[in-house]
Amino acid sequence: MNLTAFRRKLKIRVACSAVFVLLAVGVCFWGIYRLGKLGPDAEQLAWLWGFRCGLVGGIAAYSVAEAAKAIRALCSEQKMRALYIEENDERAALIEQRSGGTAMGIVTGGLALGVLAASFASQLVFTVLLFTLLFVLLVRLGCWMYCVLRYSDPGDGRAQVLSKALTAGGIFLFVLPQLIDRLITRLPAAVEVPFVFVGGAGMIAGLFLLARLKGKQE
Amino acid sequence: MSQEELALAVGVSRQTITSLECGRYTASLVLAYKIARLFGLSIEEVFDFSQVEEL
Repeated sequence: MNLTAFRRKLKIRVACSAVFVLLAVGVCFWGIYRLGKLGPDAEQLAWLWGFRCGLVGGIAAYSVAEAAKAIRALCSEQKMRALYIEENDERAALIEQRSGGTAMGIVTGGLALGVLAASFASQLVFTVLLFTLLFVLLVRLGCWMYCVLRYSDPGDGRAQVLSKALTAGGIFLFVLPQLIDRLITRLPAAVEVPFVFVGGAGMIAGLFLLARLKGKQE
Repeated sequence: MSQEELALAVGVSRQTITSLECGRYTASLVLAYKIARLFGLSIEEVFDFSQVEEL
């Protein structure tokens, strides 16, 4: 148990919570001030401000609870040990990883189905869901790359990450301007063409590297 | 030694020890080593590997 590093982590956590609570109080006061200035016809805007204040206030309350837990742990060695075990228990970490991975898969599949369903109903919903799906896929790819680099032999990991990053990045660059052009706003050819060329080249290079890696493994 | 004491000694939760005992969870190599070292035994003496399939 490295309690010295954990103590430092708890102190940072308390400081971050304090800063966040101050910001949240600022946002809430600003929201109340804006709400007072709104006329009776601005119901939608008032609802949005209420939502923002509620969300920020809720996260601030959670931060206060976490900071209180950290402060209690900082005051007693026994409580710090208990909190360290609670946060670093290997079975809890495994449950977190497994459930997170499964949830991520279900979310991605659900979003893909949602995109498909929305394509029959509304272009706005379709566009929003499509870009959300792209964002989720990019986050998954980013997390995958981090984990491969973290848990692989450096040379091996870098080759794997580079090949997949080139392929996925290439596809993304190739598809993104065309999606924006068709769904959001018309893009001039001078913007679209370089993206398509760079994306296409990245995609081909990535696929080539992937094929080479596969060949080496066999 | 109680489950709570063992958990505290090896730095995991009591639930992890319970899960290990009833075979719902497989310990990591580090945890297996810590438990074995605590009792002054080897890993094979503490854990049952008879169910592990040969490749």
